Amino acid sequence: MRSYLSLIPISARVRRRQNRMTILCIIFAVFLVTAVFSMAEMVMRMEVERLKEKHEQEFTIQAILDTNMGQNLFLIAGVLFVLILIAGVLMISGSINSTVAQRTKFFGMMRCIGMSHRQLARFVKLEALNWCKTAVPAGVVLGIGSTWILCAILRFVVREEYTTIPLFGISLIGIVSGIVMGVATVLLAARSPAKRAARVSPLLAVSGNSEEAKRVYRGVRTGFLSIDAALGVHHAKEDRKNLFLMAGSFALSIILFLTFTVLLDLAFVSCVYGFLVIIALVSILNIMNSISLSVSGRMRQYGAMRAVGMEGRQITKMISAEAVTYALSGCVTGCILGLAIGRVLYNILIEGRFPYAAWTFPGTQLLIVMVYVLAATFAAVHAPSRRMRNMAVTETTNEL
Amino acid sequence: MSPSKTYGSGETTVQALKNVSFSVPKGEYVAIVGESGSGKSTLLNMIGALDNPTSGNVLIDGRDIFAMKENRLTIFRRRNIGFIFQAFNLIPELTVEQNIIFPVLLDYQKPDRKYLEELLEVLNLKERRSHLPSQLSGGQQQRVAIGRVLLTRPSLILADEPTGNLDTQNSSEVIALLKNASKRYAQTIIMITHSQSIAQTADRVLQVSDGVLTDLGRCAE
Repeated sequence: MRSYLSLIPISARVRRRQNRMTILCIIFAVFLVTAVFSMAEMVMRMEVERLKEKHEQEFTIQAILDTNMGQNLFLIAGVLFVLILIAGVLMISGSINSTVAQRTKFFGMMRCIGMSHRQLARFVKLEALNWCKTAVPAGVVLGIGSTWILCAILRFVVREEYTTIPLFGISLIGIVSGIVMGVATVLLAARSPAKRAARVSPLLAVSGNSEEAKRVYRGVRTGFLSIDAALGVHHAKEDRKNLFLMAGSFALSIILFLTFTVLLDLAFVSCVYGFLVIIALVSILNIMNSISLSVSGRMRQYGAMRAVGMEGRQITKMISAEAVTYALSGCVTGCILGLAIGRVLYNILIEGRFPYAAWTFPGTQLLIVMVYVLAATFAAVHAPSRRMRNMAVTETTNEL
Repeated sequence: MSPSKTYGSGETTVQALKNVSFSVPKGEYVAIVGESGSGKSTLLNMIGALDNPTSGNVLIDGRDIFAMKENRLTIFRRRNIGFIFQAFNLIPELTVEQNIIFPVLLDYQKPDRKYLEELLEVLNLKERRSHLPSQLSGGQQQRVAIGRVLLTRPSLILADEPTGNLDTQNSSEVIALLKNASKRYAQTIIMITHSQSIAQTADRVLQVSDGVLTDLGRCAE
């Protein structure tokens, strides 16, 4: 050990399980961007070749960029880059935030033995950057691999105009944008949790009671809900920032979904389906991760509730209520924003090229999204609530 | 000059400490006793600059610690004050040796290897240096925590019931260690304890009850 920062790789090894989901999120973001930009470049190269043959003169990428199609391609890639960046930042920020919240006692102890605010903030940021070490290369490799597969599908299955698409092309733009994406998401995502960690008071280590130190401003309003459901909703709304992050990451997956469905109407349909499946998978992972983190953050509280007589069924109901609150607020924002962005994209990409095309309200897609998100939420609740129900009461109340 | 600590009152809704005022000369080993809720932990936290007094001040080596900016204060704390807790508070993923040198690394210094070896010897942790805290007994863990404090050579050691989680045998070992260190390096120790027998080993005993401090003076040995 040379410096206090040597603790980062050591604790990363120990906390591998907790960080797995976050790393997956980074891989996902890097992969998507690498694949999107690589595909764009491959299509571009194909166009260059074709134009060369047709006109028997040199065409540069620059010349293509000036054409309508070139601009469209990179506009789409640009919009996707921004969307994926936001989605990645929200997802990763959410999970770093939860891990920071769970480790307040550790941070308090660090402050006690002399870590300054700045050192603590740096510690959290570098811990996040450390994930990039494995996640970024993995994402880039996956991105290149899937570009090859997509190109092969276009060339041998779809054929038509794609018979000349390069098979094993490696796109520098794709790799660079993937790396930029990975590092940028992580740095942006770690900012606010790092600040939060730096604010932890050293007193927490002394008192040894991190939960009491959290000030509760409002009591639970039961209203028409039963106490267990009301508690769940309260847990979700308790921390504004957390609610925003959770709802935001739900919303972003919906926005991504709705945006990609617009692209379905464009020429390269087949790749879009691939991306949709990936987005759907990642959304499920993200929802499960968020809920599981939220539950493990409240282990002791739930243990205490079990101890005073809450039954397993009520625990499940409480956790479900919390999850549904996140899901619903995410759904509403996601659908509204997703529709708006989809509409704008449609205007630019499709109505501009095919004047006869008219935008229709994507009712079916919306319904699919809603059902999908709610189903994912309930699936996500299942595992942590079972873990909670099966756990011995004493195990959770004694846990430090 | 000896460090002196002058105290004002702490007031929230409950007055935790009422105009407590006392001073401790350098190298003295002081025990604080009192019922739970009497304010002794609040007192210790303020001496360690973890908690702010509502009024009044704390002087260490003649310096008013609450006049310092937060960043300066952190650096002052890590160089001059060492904390020992009831719950050990070791870093679970670091070995014994790494735990002990960690605060030195936080100060961007190189650990004094010779002193480290000496400490490991004195603390009887030589064979355990590459063990993780989870592989140690409570007494051993607390000795690691003491090593962590001693390596930075603080002038003031604050201990909040360091033996609260230990049996009698381990307790007396830990106390003896602390006492020796304070003699050897002229370190001041202020320790909260519930145990009558431990309080008796101190140079001086202070009692806090309902936020009022009484000096019980030297224990008759």
